[in-house]
Amino acid sequence: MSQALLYHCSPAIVWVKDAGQTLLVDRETGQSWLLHNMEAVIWDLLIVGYPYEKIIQMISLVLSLSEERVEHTLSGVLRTWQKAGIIHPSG
Amino acid sequence: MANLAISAVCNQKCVYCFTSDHLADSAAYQDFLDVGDFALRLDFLDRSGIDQVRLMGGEPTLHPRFLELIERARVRNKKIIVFTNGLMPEEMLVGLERLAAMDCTVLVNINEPTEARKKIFERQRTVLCRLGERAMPSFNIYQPDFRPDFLLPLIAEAKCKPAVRLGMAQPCLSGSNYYIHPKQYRFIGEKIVHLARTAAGDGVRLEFDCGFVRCMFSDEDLEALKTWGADVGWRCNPILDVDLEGWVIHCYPLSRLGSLPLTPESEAPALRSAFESRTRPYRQVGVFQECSTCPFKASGECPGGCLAVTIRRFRHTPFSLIVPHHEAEA
Amino acid sequence: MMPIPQTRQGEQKESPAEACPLSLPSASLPKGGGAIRGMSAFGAHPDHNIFALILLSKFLIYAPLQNLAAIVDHAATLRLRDSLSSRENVGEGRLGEIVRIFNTRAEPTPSPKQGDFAPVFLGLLPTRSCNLACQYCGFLTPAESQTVMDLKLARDAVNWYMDLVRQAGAQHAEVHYFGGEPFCAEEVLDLTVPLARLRAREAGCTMRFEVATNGTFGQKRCQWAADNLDTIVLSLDGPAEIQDQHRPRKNGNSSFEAVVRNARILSEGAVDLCLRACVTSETVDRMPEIAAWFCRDFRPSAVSFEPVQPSPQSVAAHLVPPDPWAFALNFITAARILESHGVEPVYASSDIRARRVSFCPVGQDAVIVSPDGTISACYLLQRDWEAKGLDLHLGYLDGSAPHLDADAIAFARSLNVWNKPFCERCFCKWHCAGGCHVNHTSEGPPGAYDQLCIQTRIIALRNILKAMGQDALAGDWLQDRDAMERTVYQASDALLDVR
Repeated sequence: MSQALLYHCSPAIVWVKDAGQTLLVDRETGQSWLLHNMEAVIWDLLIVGYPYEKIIQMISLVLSLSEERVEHTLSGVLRTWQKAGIIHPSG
Repeated sequence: MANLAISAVCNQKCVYCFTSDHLADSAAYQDFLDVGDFALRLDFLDRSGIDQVRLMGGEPTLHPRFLELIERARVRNKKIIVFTNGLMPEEMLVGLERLAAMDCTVLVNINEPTEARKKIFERQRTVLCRLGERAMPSFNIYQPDFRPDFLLPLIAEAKCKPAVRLGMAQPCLSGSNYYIHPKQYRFIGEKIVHLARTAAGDGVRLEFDCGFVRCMFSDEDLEALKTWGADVGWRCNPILDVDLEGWVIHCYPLSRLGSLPLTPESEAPALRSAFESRTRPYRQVGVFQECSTCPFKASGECPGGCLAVTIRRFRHTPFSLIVPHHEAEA
Repeated sequence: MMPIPQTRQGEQKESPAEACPLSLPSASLPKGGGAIRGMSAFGAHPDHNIFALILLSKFLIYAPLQNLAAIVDHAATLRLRDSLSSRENVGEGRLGEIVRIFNTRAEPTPSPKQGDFAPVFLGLLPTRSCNLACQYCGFLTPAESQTVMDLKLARDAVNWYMDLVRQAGAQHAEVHYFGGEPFCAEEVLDLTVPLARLRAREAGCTMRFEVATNGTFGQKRCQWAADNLDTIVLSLDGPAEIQDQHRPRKNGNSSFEAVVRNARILSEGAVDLCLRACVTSETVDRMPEIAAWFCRDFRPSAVSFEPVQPSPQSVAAHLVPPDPWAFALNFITAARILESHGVEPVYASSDIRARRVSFCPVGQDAVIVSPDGTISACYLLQRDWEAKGLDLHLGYLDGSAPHLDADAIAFARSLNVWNKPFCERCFCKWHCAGGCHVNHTSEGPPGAYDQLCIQTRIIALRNILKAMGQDALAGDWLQDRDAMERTVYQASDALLDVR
């Protein structure tokens, strides 16, 4: 059964944009992640508040990929981030 | 090394003071360190194999039993380092004058003399002159149009140690104090080279405090600085500042990063290691976006600048994302 | 560059020259060479690149292409002139050394662009719309034309430009954003910045982004800009009473607080912040105060002061350009404040580091892509070019294929200082290059300097003296209005024309 899912950024996550990469740090656990390429672009678009569909459209244009393919990849990235504790689902 | 705070009181209000976060957050119940607690600090230094007692504040010479603290440290064969603004009671100055020059270094922090600060500067000059070889001026750069010209004549007159401890004001995590932004480092670096050149002519060398970075100076300027005897260094590591309540922090600018208790078993290497572990994630980057790809950082020559500056680059930006038609996982 | 030793005491009679090395970095020049179409013959005369400016009781000998500046007396100036004319050296000594430098070509003469079309940058005009109602705005367009660039067009523009970069094997690429207010079409930036970065990585070149903005965006967007862009030119005319008079929001509300908040955020970020202040006759005397405030409250890497450009809006708002002498003198006072803080003062036409044939990107193959897909050489409004009898359209972008008019490109390239006889004997010609082709008409007899010329000549001369370490001499000159006028109004600066 499909339903809408709301993700929130973990309150412990701080991040910084560097040359060619974005570094995320969990202030509580000390874990860190480096985002590159598409993941870094997704993060940038999330930070400025783009909705899901628009993120797909933008990345599709940047990478010259079909929106279906981008959506599939985006879902994977979100699942990875969720597993890592970077984002949390609710509702 | 470790710095021991013995006073929460200061008679100056330097705009770049990096203790502002700590003093604002602290629920200090005392203005001055208890003498008994000072003994525990000395025990810590002994356990850690540290032969220096570095006294700071606030203004440490305002501690009513300042000279007694020094005597207790001397009994344990510690060299005395005092970080002072020089505006000390006469009694304390007399006490410091009695110390042998080889047993102490009094770092007198002096700001640029202005008309408004004339009296303050006069007192500082007097203190420096009277302490002579026991003392050296320390100067903090907190604005790009700094003018250090007064330092060399002062050193010549005071016949103090022929050196200047040069600091670059760094921010507290709150950013509430004046500090030099990395964008200004190159300009500051050029002025430092000019100062070093002039100072070398007077036989005065510069000693760099923490937070300076390799890329502030060109290769040629760096070679010149070394030729002129400058104690050049790119340092940022846990200093271990111990506050009045017995909490150990990485350093005052990073007081909001957390603290560790000073216990009867505490040793400096373990405390340092704990702070390094806590700050390791942030050390992947530096004060510039380019630090993470910089060969100087990669080689370990430069840590990437002041960690407080680096951490202030980090943001927390809450966001939400609604994913429509999400397939629930089985 | 050949440095000239300072004159020592006692050598005054034998050595009438106080020549000082001009500490300027070598400029990188556009590629070109061989026969150049459309150049006036006398513009190619090398001796017209050696200048002599009367400076109080002496002369400044200035040869920018030889990186030379020297201060000499009148007699020495005449000897140098005669030597240049007769091609005979004056012998040994300081003057002999100067003549030898004259004959050494340190840099080739700046030339118009030739060869393959190679844009210096890609200009993107995401939209002509704006959320402010600046009282001097020269970019107002009817509401119905304030479209936002389609994202596919933006993508195509970036891909086309980066293809050109890759084909040329260029090491560096740049994208500049203009408006209107570019952040009124922020999606265009959110798309093109990562796209251009990705393409730059593929091409193995560095990439730089620059935006000119009114700085009224929200905090999140401001942080994005601080993290993702390289240079932000932020318009801030001064304290609240100036800013809000000049640059109110469309509903008449204040823009000051938002702009100042964002200037602080940008100051803390990685981006280079250039604060641009528009100056009027009412605010010209406050330039030093504004400069000091900028240094105190923000961390700009540069501050640009620009006199208001007359437009129907500025005339209606009674905003008048400042007196050029007042502007120049206040600029120099402000510059000293900025320089003491490590901030670069900018008055572009007086930048003596520049060696150029065109003041602006027009003529350097710049391409500005508009929301409707047209490609132009200039970001000013078409009606402004047309008022000057210029057509600066280069073509249009249709899908991923550009359609460029070779004749239009050739015409844009011909807009250069070689074709401005008025500028031929002015010592600023390779720095100012005649100014904006649309807003500044360089006509009239030699010496008929207008406001732009006066400001440019004063500030450029101060910049030269500063580079020579002759601040005190510059100060003396700036305090002597008669002496300044003799210099500034000198009809020909060519050494050969000295009497």
